[in-house]
Amino acid sequence: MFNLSRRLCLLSLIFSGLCLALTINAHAKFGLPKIPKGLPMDLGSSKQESSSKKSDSDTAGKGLSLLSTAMSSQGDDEEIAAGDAVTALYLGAAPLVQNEAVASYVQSLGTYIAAQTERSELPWAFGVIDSPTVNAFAAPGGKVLLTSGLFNMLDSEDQLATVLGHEIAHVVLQHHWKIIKKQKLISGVADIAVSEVDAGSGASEAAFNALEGIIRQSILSGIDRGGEFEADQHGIRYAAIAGYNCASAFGVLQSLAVRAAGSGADVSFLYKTHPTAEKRINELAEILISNPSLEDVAVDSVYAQRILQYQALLEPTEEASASDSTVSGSMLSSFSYCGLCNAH
Amino acid sequence: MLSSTWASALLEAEAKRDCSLRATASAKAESLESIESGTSLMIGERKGLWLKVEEPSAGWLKVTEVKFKEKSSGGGLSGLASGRQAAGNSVASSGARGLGTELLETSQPDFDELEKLKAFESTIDAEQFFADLETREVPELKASKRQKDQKKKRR
Repeated sequence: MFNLSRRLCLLSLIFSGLCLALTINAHAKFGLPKIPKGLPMDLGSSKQESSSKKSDSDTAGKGLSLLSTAMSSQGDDEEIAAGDAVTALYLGAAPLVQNEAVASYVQSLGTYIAAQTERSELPWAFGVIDSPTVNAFAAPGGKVLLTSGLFNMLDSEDQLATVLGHEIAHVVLQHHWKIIKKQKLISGVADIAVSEVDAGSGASEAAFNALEGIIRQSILSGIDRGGEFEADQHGIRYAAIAGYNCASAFGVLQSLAVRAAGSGADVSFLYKTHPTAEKRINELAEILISNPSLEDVAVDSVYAQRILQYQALLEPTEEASASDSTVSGSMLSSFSYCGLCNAH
Repeated sequence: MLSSTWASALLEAEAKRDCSLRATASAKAESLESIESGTSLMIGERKGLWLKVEEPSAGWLKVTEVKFKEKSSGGGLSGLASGRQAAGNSVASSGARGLGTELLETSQPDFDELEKLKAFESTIDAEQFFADLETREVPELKASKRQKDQKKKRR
């Protein structure tokens, strides 16, 4: 069964690779136009063209902005369905932790920070998944997961705010959605039908069936390293806007660097899809130099220590941790593939 | 246990510019000695924007005065172990690497768990829970030197 699905997956990967090669070839041979990068961008450039023709710029501009609204909301539906499919795959590898207090804590903090962003209207959801590896994942459309290993590594609520800020930034900037959308165009996968999206819970299954190969591949490769730096930069800003210590991101990254310098097993997948923590620290230090006013908001919030009481709820008892290591340890420790956000 | 983690995990870095090693984590603290740009450092704990330097001598430098040694991150863990404890861990790291890819290829989506996540309602009253936070206006951040350099390269 596993073998079959694995073969299917490999086949679909090979197929999409073939499509990619053929598409590139066609572009080279026939001078086809370049694949558009994404609707908002394309509409933006048409807007610029239309505003240069002053005579009809008013009506054209209005029409385009209406079109843009309609298309972006339809785009949101597909983005959300695809992101839910990605989230279901993560959850299939590691389930949510069974602790309502911890789930409420992370859900509330995430929602609060996401409300400070320009995409506050998305159906955001934040969860902690049961895995000792250190990682976090953002899926298109506003689903964010972090591992219990990462949650328990943090020193303060402010650090959690910068981690969630990083993931939220991936969603706001559509880092993963842009990749999935591009691969979808390249492989000629049809849009997910609106009727399926309307059907609610069926939409994520339809999206998974249509996009499985693309989703697995995108999770494995992550986004480009520039996108991770970008998410760090926007993430600390969101945390600062929300009232948290933006500099606590340095602490998170330093903890990652220390883990990597040890056995490194619990951060191995995160490191596959991200620049090293040292590079990210150096980059954040440069951002601090370029934006000295950030130092004024580099002070821990009054709630910094609040995370400790929630971490205590997730600490495994001696017995539980012993049985974990035999029963589910191998499955969970291998979960490190999923990208900080790919987390990604 | 925490202290042993830190003790075994000094990170390699260097001074990014000429600076003063401070006695405590503050710009107003006594200057212990001058550190020249390029000096190799071993970094231990951190307090806010300050890093504890353990070598060549003990003291504190600001995070903006320090550049951590960057190892390549391509190809999993082999190139990334830094600090002194890097050697001797290859078995653990290569094991985790293989399992990750395999699980990615074989794990199946769990739509029931997805519905649980989507339907979950926090029991926390957010208004009260975050009441003492002050939200702030923070303008878009200016690009770092690396971002500016990359832009130049693209041109």
